[in-house]
Amino acid sequence: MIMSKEDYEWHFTFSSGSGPAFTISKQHPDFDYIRSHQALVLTSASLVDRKSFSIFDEEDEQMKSFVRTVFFEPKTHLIRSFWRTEVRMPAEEICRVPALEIQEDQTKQYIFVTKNSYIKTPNSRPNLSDLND
Amino acid sequence: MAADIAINEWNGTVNSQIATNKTGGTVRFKSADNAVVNNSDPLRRPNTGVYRSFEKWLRLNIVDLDDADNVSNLEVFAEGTPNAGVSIWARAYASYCNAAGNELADPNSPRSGGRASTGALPNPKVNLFTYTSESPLSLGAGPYTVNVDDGDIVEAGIGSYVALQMDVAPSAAEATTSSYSLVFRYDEE
Repeated sequence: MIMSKEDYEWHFTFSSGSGPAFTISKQHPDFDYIRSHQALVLTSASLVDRKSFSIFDEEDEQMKSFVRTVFFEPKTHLIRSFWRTEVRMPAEEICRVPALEIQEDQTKQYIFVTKNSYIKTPNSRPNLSDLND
Repeated sequence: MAADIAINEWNGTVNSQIATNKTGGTVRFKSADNAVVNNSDPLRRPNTGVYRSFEKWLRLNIVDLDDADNVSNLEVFAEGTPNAGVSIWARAYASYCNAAGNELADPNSPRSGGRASTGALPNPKVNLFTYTSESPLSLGAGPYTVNVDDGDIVEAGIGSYVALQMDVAPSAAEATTSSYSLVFRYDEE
């Protein structure tokens, strides 16, 4: 399966535990600061279809553009978000999916997402063919 | 847009090597050091010993990062099972024709194969098919943002080369062998 990078972006929800949770996109200029702030834990991540998402929409409307939302255990920190690509020779079969690397309490976990499924695993190299388009 | 990463096959003598973009293409093991996919210079089935192909050197190359910050965790592995009597060996090299390799004894004829006992891909080489999706050959953690020696230098690319060599034993069938899938994997941030 191949997902187009320009069509999707991650929105992450962080919480300090006591204060209100807030959501920030990876494209936000403060994202790296928020992500690395040790007092903030990651509570969920949503893969958003950029074509149908608008910050001016009501929250209910925005939710319609959420392709998939993943909720996390307490004490989860985001290490990085990335795109995993596999290119097969001789046929140029390309598999490209969005992914997250997180620290969930004491365990490092990887999450690979498509529109219809996702894998959450401590294995950084799962078989991506297990994902449905 | 996703980063544009090419898979290049490298041929030729040291410092005069040339790259051929094989992304989506075929790499054919031959008795010659070129990237042409045809029936010339086939491998021979020996009566004894092994017949070795010329080595195939492949490397990833950043054509355009587009909006990506970098690429990292370069890996390669194989899919499939080789035909009886056919082996494919693999190893990583940090640079083209690493000076530690035996084949550099004569830098004008690097990576040659044939039926001689010399010309084998030097150790540490591993059966390519032991590199799997779960246990791939690492070509570099990175992160990479630009090609190494980019510009006028011929050795443009990122991470290590993967060098491959096919050995044919007397037990091989005399025919065109199956094609095998080689998978390059990387992360884009």
